[in-house]
Amino acid sequence: MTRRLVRLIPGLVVLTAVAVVSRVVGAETPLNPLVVAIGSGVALAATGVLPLWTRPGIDTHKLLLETGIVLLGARLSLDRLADSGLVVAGLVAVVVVAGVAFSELLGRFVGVERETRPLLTAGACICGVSAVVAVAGSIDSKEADISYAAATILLFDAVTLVVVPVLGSVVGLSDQSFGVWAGLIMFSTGPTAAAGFVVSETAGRWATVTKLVRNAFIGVFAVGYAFRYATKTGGGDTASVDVGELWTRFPKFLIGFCIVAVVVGTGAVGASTQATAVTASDWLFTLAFVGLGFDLDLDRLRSVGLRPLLVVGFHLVAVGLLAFGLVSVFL
Amino acid sequence: MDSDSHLFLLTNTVVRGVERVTDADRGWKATLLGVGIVLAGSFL
Repeated sequence: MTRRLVRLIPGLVVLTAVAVVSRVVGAETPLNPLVVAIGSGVALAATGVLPLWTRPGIDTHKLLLETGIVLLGARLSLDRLADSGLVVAGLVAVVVVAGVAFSELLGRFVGVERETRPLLTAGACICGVSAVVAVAGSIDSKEADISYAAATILLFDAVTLVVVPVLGSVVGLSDQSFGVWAGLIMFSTGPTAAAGFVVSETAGRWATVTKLVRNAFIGVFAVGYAFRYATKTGGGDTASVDVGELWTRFPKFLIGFCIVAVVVGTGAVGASTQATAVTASDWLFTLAFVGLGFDLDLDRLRSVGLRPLLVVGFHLVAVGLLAFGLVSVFL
Repeated sequence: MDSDSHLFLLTNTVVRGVERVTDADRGWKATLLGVGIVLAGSFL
């Protein structure tokens, strides 16, 4: 175990060093420190200057992101959440249901294979690659379909990470509305949080909370698809609902997020503890976004096919417009 | 049980706990780390 932890140190040192530089650059220049962090990660990965033994530590960036999200619970205003929480949950439900229907119909129309459609729909509508894997497990997908769908989702993660914050500054939504909008339309949790925090602290908080509500749909979605495929294939031989597998895929950091939100929100710990949690969350996000940049491997994304690209692209535009309308009306 | 045995038992429990956490799901690790930071912050 000790050897395993020691292997993480070089990569963690790299993430920390780049995060410190990003924050210094962010403080001294008009550049956003999170954009600097992600850009530095992309640049370092593309140049290939880092030795392979730094990789295990860099790969912890998802854990760092999820820990940052757990601590984000300390920044949540329970009163504010009580005011807008039900509306946000309603918007998520409407956008997810409409997105699933649109993506399935468009996929059928464009001619995407029946086995690939639910994977693309899961990735686009729920929570990126982890939703792809969860649904693949429940409908017994082939490896090739999974990697095809995952590459498509990762490509859109990279594109939306840049495009959504730019659109946010153009369309004139309030910070809260922009955050909810980003949380409703983007795919993976990391890029969604990053896009929100690039615009503002408030936008980042709402983008993450909205995305977490969407992530919670993963169980319902996977069970629904498993039943549908079991029915269509007659007798349920090729698809099964494995509750254990669903629980394995469920994002458990949601539980931590709720615990911290309740502990801090109810005043069980003092203001200084809340400040410590917020500072830790900020740093963990910066470290995680450096690692996120490392993962935006452009070569790997060249394998994406045209039809999945069309389906997910049109899905994004349609859901983006629907979510924009809903956010403008209800928030 | 003497104090040495207590210390051994405690150390053993902590080591086993850390081993179980490092093998656990990433979401649980994040939860434990996050809640641990909040608890540590409240004691410091």
